[in-house]
Formats: sequence, structure tokens, C-alpha cells
Amino acid sequence: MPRQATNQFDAIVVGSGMTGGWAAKQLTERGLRTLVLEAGRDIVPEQDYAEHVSVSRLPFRGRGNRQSLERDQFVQRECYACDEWAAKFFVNDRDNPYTVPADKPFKWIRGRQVGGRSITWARQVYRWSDLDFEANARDGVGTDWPIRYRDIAPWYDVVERFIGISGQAEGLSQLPDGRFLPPMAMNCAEQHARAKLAKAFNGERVLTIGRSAVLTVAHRDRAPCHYCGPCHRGCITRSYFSAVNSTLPAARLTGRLTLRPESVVDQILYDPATRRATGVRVIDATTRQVHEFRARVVFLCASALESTRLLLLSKPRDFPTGLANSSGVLGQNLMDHTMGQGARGVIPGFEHRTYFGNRPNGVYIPRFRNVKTKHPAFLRGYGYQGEAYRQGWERAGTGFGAEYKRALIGDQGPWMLSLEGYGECLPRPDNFVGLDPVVRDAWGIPALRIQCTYGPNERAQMAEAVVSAVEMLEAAGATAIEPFRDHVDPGLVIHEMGTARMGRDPKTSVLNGWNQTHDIANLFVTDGACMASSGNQNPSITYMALTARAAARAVDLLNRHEL
Amino acid sequence: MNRRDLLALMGTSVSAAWLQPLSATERLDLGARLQRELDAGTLPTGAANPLVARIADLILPRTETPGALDVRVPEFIDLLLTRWYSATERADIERGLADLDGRAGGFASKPEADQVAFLTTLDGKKGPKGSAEDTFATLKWLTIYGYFTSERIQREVLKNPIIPGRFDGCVPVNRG
Repeated sequence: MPRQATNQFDAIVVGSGMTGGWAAKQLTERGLRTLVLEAGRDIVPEQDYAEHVSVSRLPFRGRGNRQSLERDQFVQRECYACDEWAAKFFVNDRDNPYTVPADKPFKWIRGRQVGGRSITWARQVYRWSDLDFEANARDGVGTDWPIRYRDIAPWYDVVERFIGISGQAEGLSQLPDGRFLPPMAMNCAEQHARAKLAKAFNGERVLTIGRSAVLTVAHRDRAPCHYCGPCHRGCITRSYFSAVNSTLPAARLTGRLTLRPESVVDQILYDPATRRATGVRVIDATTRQVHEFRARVVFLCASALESTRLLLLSKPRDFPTGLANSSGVLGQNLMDHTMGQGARGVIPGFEHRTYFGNRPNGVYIPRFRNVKTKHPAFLRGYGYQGEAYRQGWERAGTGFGAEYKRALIGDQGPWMLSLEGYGECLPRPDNFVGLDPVVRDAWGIPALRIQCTYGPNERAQMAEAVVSAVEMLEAAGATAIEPFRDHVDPGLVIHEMGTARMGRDPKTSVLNGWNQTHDIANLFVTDGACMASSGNQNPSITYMALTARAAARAVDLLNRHEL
Repeated sequence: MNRRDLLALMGTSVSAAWLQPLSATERLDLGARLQRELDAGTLPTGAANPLVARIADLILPRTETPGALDVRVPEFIDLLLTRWYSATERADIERGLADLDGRAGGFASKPEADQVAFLTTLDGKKGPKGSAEDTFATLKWLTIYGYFTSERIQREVLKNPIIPGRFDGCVPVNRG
């Protein structure tokens, strides 16, 4: 058997999700025979997607199999999407352990399967601007980004044009417009609130429809949304973007893609003579056999913390603390976002109107703090995700009996408007990951030890976001306003990022402005690990744009024999 | 399915005498089938507490639309009590039922008007775990949840299509 030949590729991509799919598409379309390694199982949409299964058909009617969740998914179950339909798209926590200090919980939500977390993501898509890329330099926090908006803007275009983003152009400097398909409709109460906020805040606070990777019209052979609602359970019409629905099929079309599921990478292979990555070592998840695969260029797209874990696990003599870690900052400056702070209230006046269909999207209020004027209490800012809705029977309320039942069926209840803040986290060296000295995963690979807390700047933002939400609900004419500040452990926003940051100086950063490790020219890290600051926007579109850009760069360098 | 569940199940639906002549393989097959049916939610355990059933019936009685009993809400609650709630939570609920029954002076024996009047004193009140108030709140939510997520109510009463095909943000309530 010609093992030599089958184990040699032009490029290896570790991970098949949000960024791995983009690396695969770009590298194969530019001519490279590419091996994509996925630690989890393959996904067959016709069998695995469950979005149209009625709640009535489930044993626990959507409440989940609590016994198995408590036994096998005691962390994952804290994510709303790990429900009775979609729990299979989240890892088994017993097989995939990690450790935290007893007083510093961090919830690491993961999906190990082809498509990774792109199957279950919330599909919100917001560009960064130079307000974000210049932030570290301006505030003297962390290290300066080596790129600016002009570097990434054309790649936002590339990604958005391919995956399809619905949204409304607003002309805001802090949240650049993208290449939008028609926006989804706002409902009665949301339209009302938009108009009221525009007036009350002189255009400083804008309520707009969520910018979403869900198609409102047919796009590149994918069908428009049919508004069934729960995208995170899959989509047989491929109407939202996932790697399974979009990028991996494109890569497959080139004939140059080899996708290998059940492939747990535990080492990046390194040649000290050439100072190059030569490939990766893989444990077959089912047979436990060890394989080595070789390539001219290696892309880590395994998710922020898995990619960093892989670098930490690879310790050739030249890099005793982890591959590409000559700076010593690998693992540091872990960030997530904050959420759970906001308010809700009743919007009166639309009781005789309602909505039809399940819109898989909400409304968004872009950041307005530290945009034009400096806020005295904190750096950076927060945006809001929200939604107006009628609770229907779920409001329950007081009463019981025949009349109560008629009201529960016949009256949809008041219109509610809920606004929840999503805040930026500052990079801090004391939020970090390392290898746990004892605990190993089901394949015998050392687990991560994660330490992450919110700091004073995040707490100040969270407190203020509650007040601003109340203020906006009042402006929107809401009654019965109820502020909330739910406790949310770091990690649960599932925007964990950083730990192998980009930077200008190889002494203080792991990656250069092309997502290329400073130390090893043919090793790229293009997932959330690369982030030098966190912004407050949902980050996936930025990871995808950086991946597409880095892959194009890698192929250019290969073609010029500079890699 | 654990052994306790299986025994409970058999105790209510099939007799030990009927099981006696089955071969070891047939018994295993039966166990596997019961497991599948239980996992699919198609098989009630049959152990629904009559007090739970009566309360569910009072919360959502049959009117021009089906009632809680018509869509087997007590069986759904029983499934949650046996397979979803922890032993501690289940014990709290059972203590609450005993508290409710005791304070009502034998709930089942009272005329409906008295039952309604008593439950009205509990409705919307907070109480400690194991109290009639707390258990009524739990049962009320489970009744509503089990009712509206049942196949028949989803199809005949709520009539929300699984695939609406479009989103309209602002339409009259009584449209169509």
C-alpha cells in the first residue's frame, strides 16, 4: 500500500468548522491538495439534522435527557443550543476534560464533528472597524494589532459574498456595512422601538435588524430561509451558513480535498534543521492507531483554545514551552465577551397585531460608548442583542381552569422587548491557558487548564449596560421594565479568543499580521486564537475573513517559493 | 433503563406470571423494546399519581378544546418525575403533594368547588421546597408545558406550522 503517497499533501488544515472550512475552500481552490483533519465524527445532514422534529416527538419534549446531560455533558448543557435535539452536536465532557481553579469557573462549549461549532452557532455577523483595530494602541492595553480595517475589508467582502449575509446598511463608522442580502423584517414592536430610539438619542443609538448568516433570498445554489426557527439543529435546505452547508462542499468540488473525520491531532511535527512544520501526528479516534501526515503548509483552525493546546503539546527542543512560543506569551490573554446584563419590558399598543413564522434572528443595537466621546468609567463598549416577542402560553401567569385556559390559548400575551448587552473584554496576561499536569482526555492527551475572570473594566460595562437598557426601554415607551443581570461564567458567550495573538513584535506576540507564526513560516493559526483584542461584536465573520486572507497569502508565498 | 424503572414498568403493564414462560432471549428482547418505547416517549409508565391527574384536570380542563387528561399530561409528568427530576426533587414534590392533600383535608374527597377554592389559595404563592405552594407551582407549569407541547395540541389548537415558509413581522392577530 502506497502509504508514503497517501500521507503527503500540499496543505494540512486542523479543524473543519468555521475557519477550517474556509481554509479548505481557499487552499483547494488555489490548487493545493489539502487534508482537513477533524477530531469528531462525520455529519450526514439527511440523518443528523433535526430542525423539523416536533417538540411533541421528543421523549422529554425539549427539556433534554437530564440524566445523560448531567453524566456526559455537564458543561455543554449550560449552552442553550445543547438541547434535546442538538445535544449530539456538543462534546462529551467526560471524554474531553479540562480543569479550572476552584474559584474561577470557565465554561468551555465545544463541538467536535465535521463542521464543528459552525453547525450550532448563532449566525450573527458584525464587521470590526478601526475603532476596534486601533483600540489597543489607543488605550495602551495589550499589544497593537498589526492590521487595520483596510487590510481585512476586502476579505470581509469575499466571505460575505460567498456565505450570504442578510442585514440592513446603516452607515455607522463603528459597525461598517457589509455586502448584504435583503434584511429580515422587524416586527411591530421592534419597528416602534427603532423609531423611538432614533428620536430620543439623536441617532447615537440605532436599533437595527440582526445581521445574520441566514439567506433571505436564494444564494449560490442554497435556498432562502423557510423560517422554521431553530437553526442550531441543522438546516436541510442549507439556508444558514455552516461549513457543512457551504465551504466544505465548495472545497470538495475542486477534487483536491481529503476530509478525515475521527482524527485527533496531538502533535505538530517540526524539523529543526529547516525550522519548518513538516506535518501532524494523528490518533485515529476509533482505532487508536497513530498516523503521520506531511504537508508543505499547516493551518491550525481547531478553535482558539484547541489550536493553542496543540502548540503547547508540541515541544521540540527548539521550543521547550510550546511550538512557536519564542515570545513566551502563548496561552496568555484569553478573552470572551460578557452577556447577561440588560432589561426587558412590555411594549403596549400592538395587542391586535402579531408576527407569523419563526425568525431565526433578533435585533441589534451597535456600540455607542467610547465611539465619539470618551466614557469616564470604562474603556471600549458593548452592543445589545434583543428581540420583541409575545410569550404565548409560556407566560403561564396566575389562574387555572376553563377561562384561564381559553385566555392562554386565545390571547398571545403582551408584547415584550428584551435587550441584552454583549461587552468587550480586555486582554490580560493573567487570563490564560496551559497544560494540566495530570488530567488527560479520552485519547491520553494532556488536557487544558484554563483560568479566566472578568475584570473591573468588564464589570463597570456590565453595570452600565443594565442602566442604558432601562433608559432605552423607557424611551421606547415600555412599561413594567425589569432590569436583569444574570450571572454568566466566562466562556459561556462562546466567543473565547486570544492566547496566540497577532502582533507586530515577535517578542510579544505569536502571529504576524498574516496569521503566520513569527517563529515558523509555514505554520498558520487562523481561528480565534489570533485575536489581540476582543471587540464586542460576534467574532466569527472576522475569523473567517482572516482565514481566507491568510490562506491566499500562504498560497502566494508557496507559489513565489518563499515558504 | 435501570432495573428499578423496568420493574416499575412491568409491574403496571404486564404481570410476572406472563413473563414466566419467556426465554432469556425473549426477556432481553422485551426489555430492549420497552426501552425503545420509553425512550421514544410513546409508553407511559402507568404509575401516574391520581392526585396529580386531578390537579392537572383542574388546571386545564376539557372545554371546546381538549383538556390535560385528553393529551395524557399526567403520564408526561410521571415520566419527568421518574426519569428527569432527581430523587431529592421528586421527594420534595411528593412531600408537597402530601402537604396539599393534608391541608385540603383529603383533596380527592372534596367537591370540585372546594378543590378549586383550595388550589386558588396556593396559586401564585411562593413556598419552601416540599410545601403545597411550591409543588402546585411545579405541577401547574408541568401541566401547561406538557399540554402545549403535546402532539394533538400542537396540531389542533396552536396550529403553528413546522415550516411556515415566510416571516411576517406585523400582521393582524386574527388573520386567516
